[in-house]
Amino acid sequence: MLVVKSNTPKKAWLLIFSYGFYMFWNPAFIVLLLLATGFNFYIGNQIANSEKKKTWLTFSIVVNLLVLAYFKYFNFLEDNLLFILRQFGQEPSWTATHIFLPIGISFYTFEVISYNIDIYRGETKPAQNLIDFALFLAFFPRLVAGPILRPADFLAQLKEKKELDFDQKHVLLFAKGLFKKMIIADNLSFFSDFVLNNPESYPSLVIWMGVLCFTVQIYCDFSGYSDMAIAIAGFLGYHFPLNFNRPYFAISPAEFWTKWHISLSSWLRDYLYIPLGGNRNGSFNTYRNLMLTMLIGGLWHGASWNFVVWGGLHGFIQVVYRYFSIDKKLKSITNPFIIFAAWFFFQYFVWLTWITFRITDFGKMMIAIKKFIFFDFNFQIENMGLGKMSCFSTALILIVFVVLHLISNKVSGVENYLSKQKTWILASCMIVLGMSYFFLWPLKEAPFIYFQF
Amino acid sequence: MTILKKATKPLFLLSLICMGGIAAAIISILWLPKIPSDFSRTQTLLSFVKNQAPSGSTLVFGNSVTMDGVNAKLFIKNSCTKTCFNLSSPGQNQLESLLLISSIASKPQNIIHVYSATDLGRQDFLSKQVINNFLLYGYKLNDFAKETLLKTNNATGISDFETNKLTLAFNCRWLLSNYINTNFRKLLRNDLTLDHLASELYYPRNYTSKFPENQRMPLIRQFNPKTTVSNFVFDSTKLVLIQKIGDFASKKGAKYVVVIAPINPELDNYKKEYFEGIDTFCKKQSFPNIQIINFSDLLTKDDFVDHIHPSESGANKITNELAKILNECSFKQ
Repeated sequence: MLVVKSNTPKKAWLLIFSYGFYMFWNPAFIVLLLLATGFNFYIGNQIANSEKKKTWLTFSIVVNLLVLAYFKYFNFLEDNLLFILRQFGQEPSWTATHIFLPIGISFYTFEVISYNIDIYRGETKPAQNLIDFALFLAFFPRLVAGPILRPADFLAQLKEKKELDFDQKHVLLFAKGLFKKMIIADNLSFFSDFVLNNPESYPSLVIWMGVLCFTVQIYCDFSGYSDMAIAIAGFLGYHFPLNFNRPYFAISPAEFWTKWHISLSSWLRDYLYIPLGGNRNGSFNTYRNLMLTMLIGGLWHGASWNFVVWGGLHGFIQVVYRYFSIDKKLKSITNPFIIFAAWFFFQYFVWLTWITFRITDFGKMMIAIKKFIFFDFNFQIENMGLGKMSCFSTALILIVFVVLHLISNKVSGVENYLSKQKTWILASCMIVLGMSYFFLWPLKEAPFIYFQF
Repeated sequence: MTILKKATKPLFLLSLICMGGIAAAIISILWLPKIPSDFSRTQTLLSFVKNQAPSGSTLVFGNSVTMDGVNAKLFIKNSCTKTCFNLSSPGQNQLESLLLISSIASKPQNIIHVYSATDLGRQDFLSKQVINNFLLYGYKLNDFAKETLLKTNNATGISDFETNKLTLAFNCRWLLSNYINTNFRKLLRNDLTLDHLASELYYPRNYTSKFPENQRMPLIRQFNPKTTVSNFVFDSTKLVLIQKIGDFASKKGAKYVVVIAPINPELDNYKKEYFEGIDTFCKKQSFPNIQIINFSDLLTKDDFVDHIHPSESGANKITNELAKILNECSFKQ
């Protein structure tokens, strides 16, 4: 058994590797991460030990949000200001600045905010030393795209002695994540980009297919990353929380948000929705809090109005479901047809909202939404999609996803199911997996969608 | 020891995944060159120019516009050429044509090279996909092609011509999805047969019927330039390549004929001045061994099936006009 007496050297190596990994994208942004680490480590100790806890907490939240706002939202605010000025016939003399977004900033900013708040609330203690805190922020498997870690969970793990856990379940989970990302998401991205970049050129059937492709693509892209992150952390002996739990089986918004990007939605619930008052102060305030949480959640994804619309639509549907108590009614229904109808209605809404998430140009977005809602019954797809943007091989990948997803739902995870099978079945599946990696590896790898957030 | 013992099964799984990958690579090397795809035509064309093209024939090169726009059988009927073959293929640009032309083993009478009018201002590149496709079907870069690619600053892909078999098989893996796609498309389009597209050497047209208006108009909107185009510019590298191919044709004793393909008049942001610019360019160029024919405004909108591809009537017009011009030239000679 590989056990190190003191964890510190191991953690130091892990930290160095994590920084190297982060610098691989843009070495300059390590400075920002180091500053965030030093600043919040100091503030965390101040909150714990000082009498002016609230002042230190407020100060830390303001500074962290200002840094995030500068790097993530400055361009957005400036573009909007320029737009408004031009509407009034003014042509500003300054030129637009272009600030690069440091990768992973949205994720680690939320982590440091929750760290300081948790210390303030007494739910966690400050990190024992700077290495622990630095590793909490920079641990490489989730540094650039989450899952968003909770300080109490991860800092407690850093106190334990760790050993490498090169386990079968982690290999299978990693292989599954890689398959989701490279074979499903990236191959579908050719078609979804092809269609959703120019929705005006295609009939409703193709728009539907493009939207479904993006629906599957974004899930497989992000949950594939999360699977791989969880698996790598597992190899190193660490445990990450589940980030996705088959959200496309949800029949209501409340259920969806307990299954989609769980680490973000639970963060928003614990550090925004509940502090705003949650559902404690009457219906109106509950609806307001829901809308605010979802709008901010939308804006967290990116500095663009389409993300605000996306968040707003999800907030709106939550309000509607709550107003009519649909969630409660659904719980008592056993008729499978009604459950299916409820599933279809809600998922139709989810697919529709992905249009607003994917298309930033509002003109094109409206065209795609119109074609998605008002079906034109034009079924001529024989001349659609040649070569890599093939309509039919894309449809096959969609079918493969649906079948695997249904199986996964039935057996609570394909990787768990496979690990219980006889060796020859497992071996055959691994060989087929290896072959599919070779044959279906995309011609052009697409970056992870959530890296941009 | 414990960690090694624990790692036995995961390592076993990883090795099985690798074995699957190796098996796929072996299957690819043996099978991919044999499966029919949209790009099988390259195999036919390469084999034809290397082994079968008869001396004294007229060989036509170009992209899908040429596939739909030149009927070689009609050309034979109306011209004084005994044999003519349409060796165009989907997306075949100037450099891809260069690879094919430089592989011609016989001594043709004419090499007709059709250029899309709207692409004349752009430099062409050999994509990795095209290079892989050629290599898969046994192409070997010859000295003329290599030297020409180097001289025209298109050397970026030279090293791609030296890919090993395993990498090549991996790079060509998309042929499998292309095969699946095309077979599904065949179910919806009776006229689309891989055999036809791969082996037809006279009139390999892709589109046999006019697109419905609701599909055609978005294409027109998409391909009509966003702003008006009045100024015609010819890419200088393209011109150098034309001269090079012309010299190569001369050495073979063939006449190199550059044909500028018709533009659909519905793409109305190409203005009169643009067409006049093409005309002036064609008249101004005086290569001793190259003839330039301008068909940019030859067809009406009814002669197209979509935004660029000529219909049968369009193909008849192009072919007849081409035969007429080349006949006149032959008589003059």
